[in-house]
Amino acid sequence: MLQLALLLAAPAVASDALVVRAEHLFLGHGEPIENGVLVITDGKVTAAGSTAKIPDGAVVIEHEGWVTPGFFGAFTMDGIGAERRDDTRPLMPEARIVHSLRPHSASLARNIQAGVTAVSVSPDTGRPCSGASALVKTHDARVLDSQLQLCLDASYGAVKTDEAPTSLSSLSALLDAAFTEGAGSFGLATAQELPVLIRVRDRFSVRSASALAKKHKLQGALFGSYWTEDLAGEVAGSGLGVICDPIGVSANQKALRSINALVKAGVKIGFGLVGPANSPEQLRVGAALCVRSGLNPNIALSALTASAAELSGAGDHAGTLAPGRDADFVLWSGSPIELSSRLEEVWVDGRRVHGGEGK
Amino acid sequence: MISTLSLLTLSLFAPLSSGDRLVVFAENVYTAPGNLVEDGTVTIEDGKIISVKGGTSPSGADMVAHTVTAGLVDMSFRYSTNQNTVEQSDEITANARISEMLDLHARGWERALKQGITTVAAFPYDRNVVGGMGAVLKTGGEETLEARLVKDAAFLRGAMGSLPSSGNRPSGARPGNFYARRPTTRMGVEWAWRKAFYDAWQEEHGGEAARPGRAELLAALAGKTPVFVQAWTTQDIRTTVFLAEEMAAEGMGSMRIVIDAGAEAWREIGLLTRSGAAVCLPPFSSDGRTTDGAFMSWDVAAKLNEAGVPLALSAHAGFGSGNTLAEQAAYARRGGLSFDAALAAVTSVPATLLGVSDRVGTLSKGLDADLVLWNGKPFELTTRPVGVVLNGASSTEQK
Repeated sequence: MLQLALLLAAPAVASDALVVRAEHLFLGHGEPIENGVLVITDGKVTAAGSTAKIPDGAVVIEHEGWVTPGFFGAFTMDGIGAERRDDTRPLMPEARIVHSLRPHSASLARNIQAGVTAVSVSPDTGRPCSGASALVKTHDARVLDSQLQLCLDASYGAVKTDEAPTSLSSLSALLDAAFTEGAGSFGLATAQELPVLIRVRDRFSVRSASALAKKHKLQGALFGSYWTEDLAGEVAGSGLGVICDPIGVSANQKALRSINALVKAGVKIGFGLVGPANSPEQLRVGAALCVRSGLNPNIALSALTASAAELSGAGDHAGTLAPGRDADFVLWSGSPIELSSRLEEVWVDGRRVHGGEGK
Repeated sequence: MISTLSLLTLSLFAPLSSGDRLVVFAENVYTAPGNLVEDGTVTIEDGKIISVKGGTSPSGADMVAHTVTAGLVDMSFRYSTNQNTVEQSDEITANARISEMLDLHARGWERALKQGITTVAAFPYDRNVVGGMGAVLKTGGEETLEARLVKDAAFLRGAMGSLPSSGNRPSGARPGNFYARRPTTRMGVEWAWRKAFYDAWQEEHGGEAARPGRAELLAALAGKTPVFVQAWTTQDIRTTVFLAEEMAAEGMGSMRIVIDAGAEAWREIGLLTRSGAAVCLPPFSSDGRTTDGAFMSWDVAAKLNEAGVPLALSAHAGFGSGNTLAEQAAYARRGGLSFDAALAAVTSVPATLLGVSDRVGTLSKGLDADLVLWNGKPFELTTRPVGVVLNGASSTEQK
């Protein structure tokens, strides 16, 4: 009850301007802005930066800490229960995972408490083409895009014993033929209108997926960073970014080295959420471990927000605090890369949905 | 006071279905929802209603009751439809006809009739994505299709949700059998729906060879025949509406959608209003839990009706105490639905949605003489049908 009262009393008002002034304001890319100002009107960001003018009469929140965009959870299977992948056919480019999404699923809601305000809900890998992911806001399960990214698997995981493709060779041929023919969603992908996400699980698939993307001028990302250390140059040449495997406290050095190698080669990275197997709380832990092993903290922050969204095809809607974007942001006691920092408040569409006084 | 006793007396001592003329009197005759004729007499000849008059007396009537309504219509009558009504060779079998698969000699038809259900819609068991064409039938009369069929191929039937995606690869089955062609997820079911319509459209407009079922799919796309889609949960209701809206946006037609078993329709009132879809509710459940984890609230019928969504109720061929169609109307009443709307939801609305309102669903001159005689105001728990007239004949001996 106390919670409810606090939420109702929150100074978010639909029509009036709201200003958040933070010691450190991270907008999604680049350096955080010291004493940055975020101006919000009608749930949207109207200005962000160090020099943004504060409208007369605006409610001003002074925050002694960090403000970042809401985190982006790349590749999650929350909210779709067991209906992750249709096993009927090897290629289902027109299938859309949004039809398996249970909007009232509790598993989506837990993301908010970790500062994850938007996710790409994806069909599972393990088929050459398993369908399209969806962009979903975690607070109210609102679907912003039901055909976000075409999900593919170029690895041994998509090879079956009882139906085609039954070898790595026929898998490659199947995908190559699909993009060459260019029907439906495959054509959208080759026209750069629909980004792809290609699952890789070993060096062979990193190489074949990179070649596939390069040949057909695909945009998007590989999914899986662990085997990229030796092949970062090939990945960079493909034009794809990489959605990284989740990094937990037990991650080995190779996992961390691979991510650093990708960044050194100029590849854009985003941290994968890969829910529900991994907790959204773990995103921040993985970023911190990468920074400890040498990753630039600003790139790590971007890999939690703007880069993760861009690589998932959601760059126009999530991950960045810029004029016109939904005002989805998180107030932290310190840098989210520091694990001693606390998440204090989560705001979505200019309204506080989690945290606040008394927390 | 006209008592049930007098009716029973008449029933027992006067064989009624012998002649071709029948006169029924009731204190309250609901000719249509919202249209009450007091002290009414319904006169029937040759199986059709020839007049309904108010302010009459019971003298000379063959049958007398407290209340008379039109025969009830259950548009989701899941009887005599089992695995054997599913054509297994494909997941899209739009040309399969339920009328060719029904066992009219089974006992359940008569049980439905005794409970006041005179007209039903039957369709293949929802194991395929698109199961085939549904039919409208009478529940009594001679046990032949010709005698019972009101309208064949009345609607295209299919399903969203987990049922059409749950049949894949029975454990132990060898790969390569035709179970392996079924979708295994909701997204696969939706994909199959969309592919079916696009394929039919392209065959028609691209001059490709037509596959079986093309005509049925195109008629559904064009809105010539309605599409009844089983969709229990919120996500399946959304998927169904979005599918219809996509077809409209692509300029492929304007489908008329009936959401069948829409237990969670209460969550999507706005969407349903926008789409113009109708809803047939499944039977109420005591704890709200239904199929596929869908939660059905007691006030769902009232909410839909208030929002102007065409609403039908169904018992899903439940015959036991507490599961009859009249009792579903009573539960909807308890959730706030008005009497007139409840009556409409089991008579005129399903008749209209099935395209047979020129035959059944109301009591007026020229329509089939299908009547239910009640011992009190319908949809009260103390009230039950005490007589049923089907095609002008008193069809059942009430016990």
